Amino acid sequence: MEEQLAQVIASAQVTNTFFAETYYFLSIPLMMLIHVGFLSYEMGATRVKNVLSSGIKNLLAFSFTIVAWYLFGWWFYWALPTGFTGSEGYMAISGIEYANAIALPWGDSAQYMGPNAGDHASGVFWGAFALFAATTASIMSGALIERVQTVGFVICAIVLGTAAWGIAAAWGWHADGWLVTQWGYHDFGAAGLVHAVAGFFALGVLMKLGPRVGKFNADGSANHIAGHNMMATVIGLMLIIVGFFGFLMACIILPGEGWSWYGEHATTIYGTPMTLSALGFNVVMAVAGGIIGAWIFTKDPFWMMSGALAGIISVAAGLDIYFPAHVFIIATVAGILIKPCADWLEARGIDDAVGAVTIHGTIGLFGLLVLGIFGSGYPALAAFAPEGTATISFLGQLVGAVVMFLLGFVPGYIVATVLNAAGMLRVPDAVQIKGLDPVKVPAQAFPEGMASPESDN
Amino acid sequence: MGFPANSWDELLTDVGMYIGADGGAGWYSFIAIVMCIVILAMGNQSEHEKYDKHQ
Repeated sequence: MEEQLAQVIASAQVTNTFFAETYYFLSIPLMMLIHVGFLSYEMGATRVKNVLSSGIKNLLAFSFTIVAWYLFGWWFYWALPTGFTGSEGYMAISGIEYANAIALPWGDSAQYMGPNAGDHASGVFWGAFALFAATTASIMSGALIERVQTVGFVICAIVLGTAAWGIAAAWGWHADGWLVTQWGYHDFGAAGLVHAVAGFFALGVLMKLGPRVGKFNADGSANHIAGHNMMATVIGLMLIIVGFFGFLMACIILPGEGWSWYGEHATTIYGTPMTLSALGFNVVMAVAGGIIGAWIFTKDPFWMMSGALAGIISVAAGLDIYFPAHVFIIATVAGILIKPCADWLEARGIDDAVGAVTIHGTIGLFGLLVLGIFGSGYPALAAFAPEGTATISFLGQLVGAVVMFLLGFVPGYIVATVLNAAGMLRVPDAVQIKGLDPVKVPAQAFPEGMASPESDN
Repeated sequence: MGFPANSWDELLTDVGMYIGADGGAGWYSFIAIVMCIVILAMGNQSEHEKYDKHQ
């Protein structure tokens, strides 16, 4: 009887392990839809003369970010949760020594960076994190279209997707992260660590990159530069939202495995209780609220779908603990805010072609602060937390928001400054006027005879 | 290179079972890094040649 019981338990464990592996594995292709969406969105928002160049840039950002995340980024995440000293944290799953043992693709740790019959977790977790990294690069990508050089942009994407996001995740999305243990920072769905970091990295680059030729008049007033295909843009935005479901399901830690926080219930990455049902309620309510909020002021499908994104981002930090009606209220406010915020930025001479700084950056920070107001007092970690661990508070979320802003903006501005000095940032104005595709792409997006009305080609 | 163990049974534990698990993996990673750098340098050169032609 005992032997049969042991066999049943062993079989159940095998089933659980393969379920967990499959769960995270399937989040990866779902997250790929984010990139399908960004590709369509960005190419649609581009004029005819630059469509293929925008696509190339987007594809390369994804590819190089993935490789860089494999080679270096994963190590950042595990090495730096307690800060730049790289010391080991309370949970003993962080620090340089730990990262050297599991997250480098050379030496002994390489056994956890490739096929391993005894390791059903590393690859799928790495894959999900790699897609998060690529998402940061794609967020930045749209803001810079039609005037950023390809290789210069790829270098920005590598720094953002590998270092800036890797460090942000280590500090705020890890049970040993100093923002979590010392300030009670809570960011379940990465409003700050992905969206705000990427949005403000883009702002740092934009300040050095400058606007597209023709965006601003001599008196400082702005011209609207319409993309060539609004349908591609709006459908792309909807696909990003579909991909977000994969992104968010990968933010859950399943139970019953050696790496799980608990045997019987799922948790957030902080070990606090979490269910997929919470996402079922809250994500779709956030989409609805964001669209409705944006519609109030704009009546424009581009901004309405951007409102859907903003709706999710505004509540992402607390998707695990918000009530759905509360989500709707916050997301609606976010939808209302995006157009005025984008206009404010444009009035200051920033040419953010798709509103990425506002939708991801500003709304990401807004979401962190809102959670600080309403979620104050919730424990930041679960029962295993060391004594004295902070709870969620407005001050903690504010500190986190400032850190996320700086982790995005400062490296973005520095990298862009270096690239600009090296002549690798901005496409020459003459080439912008002619069109990037006729100059550097040996293919054409549209049939013969369909020339761009803006190009002098 | 080649099979890194004496049998599959040896690899059904918590160890790498990929080609190079017996010591070559680091070289593949090193070559991948060099390839990325060279490709970016070549891409940048090609891009600037095209810009120069159209100015």
